[in-house]
Order: sequence, then C-alpha cells, then structure tokens
Amino acid sequence: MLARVAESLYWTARNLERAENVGRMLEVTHALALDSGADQVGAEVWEPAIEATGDMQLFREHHLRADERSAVWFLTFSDLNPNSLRACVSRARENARGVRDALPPDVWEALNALDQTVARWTASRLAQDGVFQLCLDVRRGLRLVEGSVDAEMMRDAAWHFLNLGRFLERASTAARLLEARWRVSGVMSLEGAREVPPAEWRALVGAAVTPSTLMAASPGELTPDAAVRLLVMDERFPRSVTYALQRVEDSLLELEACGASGRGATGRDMVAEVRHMLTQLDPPPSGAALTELLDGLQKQCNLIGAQIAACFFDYPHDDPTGHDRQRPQAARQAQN
Amino acid sequence: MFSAYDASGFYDEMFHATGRPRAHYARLHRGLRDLAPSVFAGKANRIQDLYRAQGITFAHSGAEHTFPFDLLPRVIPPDEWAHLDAGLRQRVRALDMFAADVYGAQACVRDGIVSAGLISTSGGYRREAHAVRPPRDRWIQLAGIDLVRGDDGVWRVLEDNARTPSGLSYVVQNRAFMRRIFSEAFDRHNIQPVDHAPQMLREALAASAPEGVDNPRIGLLTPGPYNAAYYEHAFLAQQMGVVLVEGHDLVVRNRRVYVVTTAGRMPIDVLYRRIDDDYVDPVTFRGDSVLGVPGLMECVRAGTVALCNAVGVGVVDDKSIYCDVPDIIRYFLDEEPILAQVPTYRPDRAADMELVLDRMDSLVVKAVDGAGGYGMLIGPASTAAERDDFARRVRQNPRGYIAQETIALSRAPVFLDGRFQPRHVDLRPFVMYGDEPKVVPGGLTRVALKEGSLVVNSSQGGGSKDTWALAPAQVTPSGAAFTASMTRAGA
Repeated sequence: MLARVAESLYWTARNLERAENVGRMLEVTHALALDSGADQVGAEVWEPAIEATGDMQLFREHHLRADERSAVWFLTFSDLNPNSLRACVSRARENARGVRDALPPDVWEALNALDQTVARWTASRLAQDGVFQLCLDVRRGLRLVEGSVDAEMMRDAAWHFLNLGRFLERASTAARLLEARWRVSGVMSLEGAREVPPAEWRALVGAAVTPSTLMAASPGELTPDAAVRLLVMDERFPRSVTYALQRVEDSLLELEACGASGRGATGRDMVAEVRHMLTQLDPPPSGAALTELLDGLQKQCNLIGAQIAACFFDYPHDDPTGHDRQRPQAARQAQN
Repeated sequence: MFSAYDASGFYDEMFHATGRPRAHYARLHRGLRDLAPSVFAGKANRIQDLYRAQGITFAHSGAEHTFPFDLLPRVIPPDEWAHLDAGLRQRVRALDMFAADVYGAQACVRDGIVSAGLISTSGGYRREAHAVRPPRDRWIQLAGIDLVRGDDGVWRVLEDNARTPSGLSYVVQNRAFMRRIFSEAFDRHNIQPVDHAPQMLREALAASAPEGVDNPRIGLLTPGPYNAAYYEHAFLAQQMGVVLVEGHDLVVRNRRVYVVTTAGRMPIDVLYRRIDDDYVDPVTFRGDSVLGVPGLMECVRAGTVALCNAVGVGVVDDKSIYCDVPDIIRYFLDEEPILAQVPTYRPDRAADMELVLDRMDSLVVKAVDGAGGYGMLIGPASTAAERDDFARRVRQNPRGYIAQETIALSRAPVFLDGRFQPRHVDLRPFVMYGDEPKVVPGGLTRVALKEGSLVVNSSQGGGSKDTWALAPAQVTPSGAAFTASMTRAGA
C-alpha cells in the first residue's frame, strides 16, 4: 500500500473520530446546560467541553467567556477553530478524496454526503432546529460511513490504517475528556470529587456512552471510581482507553503480519506497555495521581502516533512549500 | 413532450423533419411522446443528485461542479457506428505509426508527406523523445477523437486528442446512472455495452509493458486532487485495478521507477500518466515541476518503464498537422481515409493566409495550442473588433493558427426548463491501442447547453448525454410496453 495513501486513510479516520467526539461533547453539554437552568449556564458547563477538545487557549483568544452562544459556535462552525465539527468533517473528506480509489464507492459516497449535510447547516438553522438535530445528523452520517466500511471493505492494510487513526484518536480523546472535566470542576481530590453533582458526572460519561449502556455497565449511583473504570479501564466498553488501544495493537500486529511495515518498530510494543500498565490499576487512582495518569496517557498516545508515522508514512514528503506549488501546477495540466 | 420541438434549420440527430423521428430513434420517441414532462424532469433531477452524491465533479474556477447530464440518450444506428468504428481504428493506427516515424527514421519527411519545419515547430514536439523507442513502438494507448456532423449529415473529424484525452469515466458512469434511473428506455434497443472500457484501457497498457514483463505492475500518474479531471483518474485507477500515484509516491533508483509503499519500494512497469510532457521529469523538462519524478525519463530511455501515452506524442494532434492526416493515412497504411475531415486552412501558407484574412467572418480560427474551447474565434458569431484582433494575431504568428470552415454542428433534443429544446452536440469516441486498436462503442456526446452556442467544452458550460451505439440486430418498433412501464415508474 502506498505510504501516502496509508497516511491519508489514517487522517481520514482520525478526523472522523474527532468529529464524533466534538458532536458527542456538544450534545451532552447542551443537555446539561438545559438542565442546570438559564441563570447559571456559563463557564462551569461550557468550559469543560472546550477544554476537552484541547483548544481552550485558542477559544480564549477570540471569546471573552464560554456560554451557549460562543461555545456552540466555536465547536460547530467557527472558521477560527481548526477542530470544529465542520472543519473535521471537511478535512476527513479532503483526505479521503485524495485516496478515493482506495475506498469502496459506498464509503466515499457516505463521507461525501456527510460533508454536504454539515455544509448545509447554517447559524440560523442551528438557532431554529437546535444543537440536537445537528448532532443527530452528524451521528447518523458517521454511522453510515462506518457501516459501509464494515460491510464493504476488505480487512486489508487500508482497513487497518483506518482503524489506527480511529482508535488512537479515541484513546487520546477519552483521556483528555476525563482530565478536562476533572480540572475545570476544580476537583483535585477524591473527597472533592464526591461533591460534583451527579448530573455533571452523567454528562461526562455520557459524552462517551448512551444512558442505557451506562446503566448496564454501572448500575446505581455513578461514582468517580466507576467513571474512571468505564472510560479508562473497561475492556468491553468501545470508547474506553483500554479498548481503543487494544484495537490499535491488533491492527499493528496485522500490519506487521501482512508485510505492510518495512522499516523499524511499528509502535506496537509501546501500546502493549501502556495496556499492561492499565491492567495493574486497581483500584483506580484518584486526585493528583489520576490527573497524572490521564496526562501521561495523552502523551503516550502522541508518542505512539509519532512512531506510526515514522514507520509507515516515511515517504518523500515535499518541502513545506511543495504542497502550495502542487496546486497551481496540478490545475494547469491539460486534460483534453 | 415534442409538440413544440423545432427540428428545422440544422441537421437534427433525432428527427429528419419536425415531428418525424429517424428510424433508430422511433422507439424512444414513442416512449417519451406521451410522458408527462414532470415525470421526466423528476428523473433528470435524480440523476443529477447521483452525480453530486458520489462527488463526481470537475474543478472549474476554484469550485467543484457536477457535469450537467441530459437524460435523453444520443443514438447512433448500427451502420453509422460500423463506419465510425473502422475509420477511428484506421486513424489511430496511422497516427501511432506517424509518431514512431517522427521520432525514428522520419521517412514521412523525406518523402514529403509532412514538412520538417511543421514538425519541429509543433508545440507537442519533444526533441528528447528521439532517444526513446517505447515498447513495441506503441505511442498512443488512449486517444479521444472529436467528431462533428454538419448540415449534410456527414461525420467529420474535428480534432485528434492523443496526449491525455479525458471523458472516458463519464462514458462509463453515464451509462451506469442511466440504467439506475431510466431503465425503461433500454427496452429492446440492443445497445452495445461500455462497462468494460476501463478493462480495455488496462489491456492496452499491459500490452505496452516493457518486453519480457509478463504481469506488469501498472500505475496511473495523476497531478492530484486539484486537477480538473481528478475524479476521472481515481475512477479509472479503481476500475482498472491499478495503483493511483502522485509524483512524490515514486522514486527512481538505478534507472528503475519504484512506488513508495508502507513496506518499502516496489518496482513499477507501466505508468499511464495524466500530466503534461513538460512536468513528467524535472531533470529532463521543467525544473520547477513538483508533479513529476526526477529521473523518470532516464528510466524511459533505458526501457525499464513504459510511459503512456508516450512523451512527444502531442506532435500528432497538432492542429496544423491535422491537415496532413489524410495523407499520413495514405502513406503509412496505403488506404484511403475512411473518415472525412473539416476543410482547414493554414495561414503559414501564403495562399491560405490571404483566404483566411479575407473570410474571417465565415471561418473558425483556432490557436494551434489552444484547448477547451479557448483561444478561438467563431467567425459568424464574432464582432468586427474580435476579427481585427485575430487578424493581427494571425499575421504576427501564422504558424500559431489554423482556420476551418464553420460546421453547422448537428443538434439533438435536450431537456431544459421543462421541455425539449434543440442544442448543438459533438461526439468524442475513445480508441485504445495495445495489440490492436479498439473503440469503446459510442463515446461521450457533449452538448452546448447555451442556446445557439457551438462550444461544448465542460469548462464552458457544456453537458453530456449517454451515447448508444446500437448493435446490428435492430429493434422491433412497438412503444406501447415502454410507455406503460414508464408511466408506472413515474406514478
């Protein structure tokens, strides 16, 4: 498989997963804001949502405070946010467009349709139809892409590169999500954590899981411990760090087996190490130790991503100006 | 549906007189006659949605557009198609031999068929190609020959495209969408299939592989997503089952081209390239090219890779050399040309210059390096100022222009604003050449959507039609079942 194609597939999947996470975050935060009553809705509800996307600094450069209006705009359509819902979907589509011959037609078509759906949303429609409808549109579009991948694609190298992007992004986001809620709530100790209103815990975990799954996985009151177990350690829960890293490890193993990796380590050992470390955590850490763990997980995901790039995507990338020069030249090629 | 349709004034593809369809259109005509325009319009909209949904677009002026598609097919009867098929094969065979001769012995120059000056001043001529002898001396793997039909009903070659002709993907895709949306119309027509066109191209490419390579690794070299025809590149690569590569996916080591994979480098034997000669190799041609592969031409010269179509082949579709093609056919094949041409004048001949300047208001003047309907003056539709401008340009650069008799392009019904209206059309059939030249039955019918316009190019608002080359066993004329099934489908 072409190194460039592999990289584009990987980034297609990462961007789709990012869009998924932004959508989920938006939806539960919006619900939480409605529940908490008009007067208090503000920073304490919306800031964790932006914090969880990792773009708080950028947000502060452009907005004075996080409220329903500014935060929703920032997370959905803002041109200033490179990780807005629209930007992620559009980037996923751009990456896929460059390798559309490597994707089954149904997959490309679903991706193209998702991009068009999101592009049709405007600020006024958002005000009228609401955040929920937008998130529903995005979720359904994503399910169609994933369903087409699931039904149509060979389980070959292309499929594994999609998996790598999807699950590495998911592992990293799960850790960041938990850390963000933790930090913004100002809860650094286990004692403090118990003071977090149940609704907020639901929102935190809810960004990753539907209510019924949540009840099945953690009946009764949702404690911080249970949340950490579910989001970080649960091997059965498809949005946990452990589950996502397992998929990354599986795909790296498959890629090694089918001879798709030529140069050096794929990063599989690093993934295995992190997974092993997570199995040793019982009971889950709390307070500063938990923050440290979550921070460490994100760093590990970055390192794994760098290793994957070094191993698989090492082709003569043009110098930084190469891409800018390719565009006008490509446009000029006569196709008589 | 056709009650207000005016078939007079030009050769009409569907009617020989207003209200009287030609025999090969009779069946479609009966089926459509009593159909509610709203039903037809609904189908037309759905097909446009299909194009949008699949992202089948071309880039123009910085935006992605769908290619307008007209639902009423263009039908070519069996006898006409047999004539075109033979003529196209003959023409491409001769052009291919001509290219080999230009970069080889130049016997045609010695024997006075084409002048040496005309060749060396051709924009498509590449000195560097003299050092190259492509595998089996094949220079053209895919050609698109533009045909038009005038008032007299005679098919004529308007121009040859032997470098990187585009549109083949639309031939295949148009048919596939027609089947999905308008299957009733296919009923008992005996239409020659086109779905195998990418496979035909693959065979032509495989047959052109370096000698001794049995199972060649083939790639399609694209300039990338920013090119207007990128969709076509991706489609053809996928349908042929070959790898779609950009310049930076390829490296040259020891006079061999390799594609860079996640597992290292793999050699490649045939490259079907959709980038211009000047960009294929920054070492040999333009040094600033980021689309090509440094050292590629060295591999071509060493014969380790076949670059298709061959570098330098542009000399054969030069608009001035076009005048000599009938003689080229006679010279290389010892046959009379099967297809007619459009009478053409070359201002670099003194007698022609006078005639061209004199008749500017009735001729079409074209820049020999122009394409896509640009750099062109359509005399009868021009203003005095435009004619003065072109007269000055022609005088300054006689070799840079040709003039052709204005062909009153034939028209076909096109569904616009809820009714059928006559619009000018041309036809681009595609010829593949590996072992033997083969023609994809039908081709791309291009439509000038603007009323009265003669310019069919997609970059200037042209559209397309599915094109049916009928096989000899003909239809039985009964439209009742057809109408009934269409009514049901629309209800």
